[in-house]
Amino acid sequence: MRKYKLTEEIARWAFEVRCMQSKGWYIAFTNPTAGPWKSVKARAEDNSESEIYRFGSTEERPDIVLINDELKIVLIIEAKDSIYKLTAPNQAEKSSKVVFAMAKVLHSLSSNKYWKGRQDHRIIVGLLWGAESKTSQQARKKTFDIYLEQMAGFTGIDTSTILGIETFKAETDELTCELYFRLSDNSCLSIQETEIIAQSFGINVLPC
Amino acid sequence: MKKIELEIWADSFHEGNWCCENIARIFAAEGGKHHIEYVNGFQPTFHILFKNIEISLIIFGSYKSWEPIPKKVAEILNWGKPDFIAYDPAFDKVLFAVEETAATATGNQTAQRCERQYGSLRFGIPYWYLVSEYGMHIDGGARRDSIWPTIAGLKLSIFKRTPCLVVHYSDIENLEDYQAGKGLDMLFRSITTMLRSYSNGQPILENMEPLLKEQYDDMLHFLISQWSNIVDFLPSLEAIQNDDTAERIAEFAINSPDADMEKVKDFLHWPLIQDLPNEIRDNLAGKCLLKYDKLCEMFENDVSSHVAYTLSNNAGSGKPRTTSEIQGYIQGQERKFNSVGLNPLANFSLSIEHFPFTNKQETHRHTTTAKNIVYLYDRWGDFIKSVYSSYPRLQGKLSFIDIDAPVFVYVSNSIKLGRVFGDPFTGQIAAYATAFGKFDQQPRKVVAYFPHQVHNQVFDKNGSTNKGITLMPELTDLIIFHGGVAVDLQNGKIL
Repeated sequence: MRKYKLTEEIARWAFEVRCMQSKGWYIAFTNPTAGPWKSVKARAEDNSESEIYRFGSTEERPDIVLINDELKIVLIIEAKDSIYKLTAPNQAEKSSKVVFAMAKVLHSLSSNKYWKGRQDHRIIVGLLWGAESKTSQQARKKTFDIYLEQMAGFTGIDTSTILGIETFKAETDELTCELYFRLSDNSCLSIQETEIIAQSFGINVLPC
Repeated sequence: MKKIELEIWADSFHEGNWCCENIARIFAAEGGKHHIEYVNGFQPTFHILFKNIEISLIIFGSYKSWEPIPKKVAEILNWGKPDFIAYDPAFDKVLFAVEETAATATGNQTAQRCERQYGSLRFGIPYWYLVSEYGMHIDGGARRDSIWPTIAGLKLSIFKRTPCLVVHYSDIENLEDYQAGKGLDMLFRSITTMLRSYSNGQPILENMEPLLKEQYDDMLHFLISQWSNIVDFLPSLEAIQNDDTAERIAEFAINSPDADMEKVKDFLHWPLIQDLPNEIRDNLAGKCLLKYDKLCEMFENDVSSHVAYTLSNNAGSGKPRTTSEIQGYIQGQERKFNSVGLNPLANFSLSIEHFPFTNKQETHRHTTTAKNIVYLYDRWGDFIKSVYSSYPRLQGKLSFIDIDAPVFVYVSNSIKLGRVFGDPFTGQIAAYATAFGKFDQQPRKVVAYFPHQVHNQVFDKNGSTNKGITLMPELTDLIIFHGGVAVDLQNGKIL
């Protein structure tokens, strides 16, 4: 029997499996090291798919970009193998800048045939981490606080909302995902919408 | 129904999943069906039903995440990581390995992935390299793939009697487009053909000869149309253009009893100077260096004296670096340099003044010595004469090789500490050593020269290993470092 370590790659992939199995979510970008996944893609209204942006060789990339046209949401996710790595020194600043840069690129694509119609989509920051034991409410709260603070002042993204995905490895080796959310006063999302989002992934949802 | 369970080991789940999707697609086109099950909520297993056989492919994404990795898979990984490897746990057998890249490698990255090609072939594992033939360079222009992985693939197929293919996708109208060109289809038609034979209890390469012939034919046609953009001449052009050659190579790849070494004698063998085409030999002339290095100057002089030759009169130079970058690199090398135990001692002499400016603004400097990175000597004796003249401390120490042995010299101008055993150098040495004759019937000795790197990095790994440390002892006969410190990795000696 082969055993696995819950690396960032596996934590991220487990969530991508939920995305692939969902009906409403489209994976526009995911960041393994190479292969045909190095560019951001989108689907036009006629369902044809094309590259809409290609990262430079030294350009920082987010880990996952998801689109849900029904909910009018773009979710830009930063991922680590543990929640503590998301709050390592300078990490929140670095990750926030990456998300902001990605959002800026997407906003610049209004005339692109494959991006057209998504100008008004809400761009939300997502954090994803792996956990071999359940993270504490305190650790999640601290992480979300740090990211909200970092995002203050950024434009083009919803700076009042964070969605977190925890990929949890049970003793049985089974991986499950849970959605956590923080909605501040000006959040573009409602609690009901977070429930719809969680439902679309087929996972549980909890406030943070 | 007959069932067979195979493991697909992959650099990432995406690559493993992509492999299985394409296999399922080809089977589907022939009437097969499939469904996917996720073990433990994340690990895809493709169950492919085809006629009376069920092939289950379970993906192990991200090599480093798993334990234990099958020993035979781990052995291959030591030589560089292919993107995916198929393994049969029931018979402890690796079936094939594949490297694919989304980009067209240009410049010194063209052979970057060839250590994986060599690594798989040395274990007799059929290997495919799927690469974009036409790609977009950073300058916005289109670039075409290099000939070196193809040449190494053709030669390894013969030497190791195992398939070693380079298959191209994209075309000039559709740069880096997987759906354009034949490569993607060829790769997965080959894989599904092998899986079909294997799951029927036949040898894995049964029924592969026509497909291999077609792919070798494509590789030969690629060489015909591309060689003159890269080198001034290509040996065996007549054989490359012969319609039968692809079939001859396919016979070697499947290890057919019909494979006859006489029929491919001297195929892609880079000749001695006397056998060069007249117009090439008559025009051999050394070139000026961009940054002075005595040994590189001797190499160029030896080209002028017709005791060595180079491949192209049109070689490019490496990326210029800023003064502060180079100063930092020199400091790193100097900190690592230690001559204790050497007899005679070697001197550290890298200095920023030795790196000339590339522009009037004096912001960037050359690190390139000679533009050529490949020199082919007829005789070891002539090569070491230049080495002794440049580095007197080596006088008399390099006579352990027959003075009449021909030599291939590879020069790397890398200067950043550690840029010896990683990318792209390991791949370049693997490709060039193969291409220029390490395994030829009349083999060439292989020497790597790193004028800006210090030798102390070689045995400073505290027992840890990487693909370069694994590969270099097998493929090089000598490495010469800064200050004229030579290392014989095969015998673990510093000279």
